[in-house]
Amino acid sequence: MKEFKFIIIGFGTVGRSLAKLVVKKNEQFKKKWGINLKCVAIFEYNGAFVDEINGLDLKTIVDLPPNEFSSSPNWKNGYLANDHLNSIDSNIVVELTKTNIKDAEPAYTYIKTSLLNNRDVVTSNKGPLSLYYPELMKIVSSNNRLFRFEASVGGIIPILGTYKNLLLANKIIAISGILNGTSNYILTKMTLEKIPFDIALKEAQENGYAEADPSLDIQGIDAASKLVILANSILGYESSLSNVKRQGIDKITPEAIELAREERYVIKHVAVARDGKLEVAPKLIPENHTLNISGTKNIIILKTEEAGEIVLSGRGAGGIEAASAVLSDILYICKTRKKEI
Amino acid sequence: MEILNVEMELELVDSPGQLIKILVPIGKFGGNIINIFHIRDRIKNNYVPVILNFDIPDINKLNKIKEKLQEIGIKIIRLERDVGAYKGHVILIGHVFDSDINDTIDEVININIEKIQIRKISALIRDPKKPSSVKFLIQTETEDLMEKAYQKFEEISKHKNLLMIKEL
Ligand SMILES: NC(=O)c1ccc[n+]([C@@H]2O[C@H](COP(=O)([O-])OP(=O)(O)OC[C@H]3O[C@@H](n4cnc5c(N)ncnc54)[C@H](OP(=O)(O)O)[C@@H]3O)[C@@H](O)[C@H]2O)c1
Repeated sequence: MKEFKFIIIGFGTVGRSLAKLVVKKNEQFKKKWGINLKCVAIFEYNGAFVDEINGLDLKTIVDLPPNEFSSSPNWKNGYLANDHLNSIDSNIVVELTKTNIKDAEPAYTYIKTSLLNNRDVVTSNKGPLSLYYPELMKIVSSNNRLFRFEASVGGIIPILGTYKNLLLANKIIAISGILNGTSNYILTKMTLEKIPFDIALKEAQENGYAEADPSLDIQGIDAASKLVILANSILGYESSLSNVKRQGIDKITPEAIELAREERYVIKHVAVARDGKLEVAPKLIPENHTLNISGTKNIIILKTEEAGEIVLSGRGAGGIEAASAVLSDILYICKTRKKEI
Repeated sequence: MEILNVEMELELVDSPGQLIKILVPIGKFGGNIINIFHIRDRIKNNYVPVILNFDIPDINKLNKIKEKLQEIGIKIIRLERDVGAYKGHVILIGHVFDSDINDTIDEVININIEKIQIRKISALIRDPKKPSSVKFLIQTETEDLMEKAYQKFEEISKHKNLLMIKEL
């Protein structure tokens, strides 16, 4: 049995879902692969749960609301990742704080220092990857680290793993896709119901498909971040968010959709990486095109040199889907490191 | 999108019902007829030369049409298909008609100088005060020229603050 100590930073939707999954599945991992996951700390913005010796009893923590954190004997108020992240003995740091696309903090610093301190890292956070990808990768290779981030490209589509494990012999020359469920939901609604953008957005918000501040989704920033991560890790670009040419969907009118329909086109918010260029913008797509998917679904098309097009499609992620992708990344690291011993 | 523009000269028996025989296979394989000319002053031995001009999505479909015509005994005298053509649509959204519609159309038409043709302009305006949506059909001889046309539209959209939506 090999024990892997891990730290969670950020105990929100994804962090809690991950803790729940570990509670549910750790016995299985022990039996099947001889891997024992031991959570030694969970950092929140105002303190942390810590038990370096026995590991935290996640069962007792997963459902605690934030105002009851201090009822846990393991809670240390004011014990912050900034000060203590590196002093806790661990193999894997799992970074799950909010996405910040301005400067990627605090996630960027946490990830970087963890890598520099010889921890392997898993994250679901687009911020650091879409702003500092080349720099982080240099640290990864010079420190011989493992760094996985499947959940950051959203959806439940295991695109990075598929590429790394199954498609390596294929040269991928372009990526196109619909990478944001919210904007696709809005455009689908506008198309089917012939309603203006404002009304479609409002209904999306009422149905829980769009945030109160929807700008990251409708301006294509979220899709652009995911595109950067995909292009960097699959096409070998060294790009960041500022390299993406970007147009939102908020100016699209029902009349434009009608004009498109006359030519048997639909308007979709498409992300494209090819010839070294990155773009997220509304495009005219033939009605029978693979990219014409409806609702909150995501789709990615990989254009290969030898094997034509490969299409992956799936639901946009929620907390539990993201957490399962994070857990798969953790297991990948455990299995890889275990083989090395 | 690439299309082939085809000019085909055939010989038809000069009697009613002949033309439909050749139009059916052309239509069936996706051809889009633009012009038909009967060259009556060249009727010979009861055969009339006919020149057809049509668009077709790709060469395979054109070959199918040729096979079919030969099968039904039609003689193709001449076939020119090197006049390759590209078609693309662009939709502009914004106050296209508001202040300076003339400018916008002027600028778009000026693109013609560079062998880029605007074949069709259509608009839908529900409320003159609100942004309008205008669709342009562009045709060029080469893919490069189509790229150039898109670039031109992009420049216009940028300085007039319009949203431009083009084909993927
Ligand atoms: N939810 C999904 O479906 C999904 C899917 C794919 C990827 N992701 C990505 O996964 C990440 C986490 O998402 P989420 O939905 O779990 O977000 P969330 O619910 O907002 O969770 C983030 C957590 O991090 C905490 N936090 C903030 N600053 C911190 C700090 N300095 N140190 C430690 N903890 C800190 C937050 O506390 P406060 O709330 O008190 O500030 C919050 O509990 C994001 O980057 C997101 O983009 C999410």
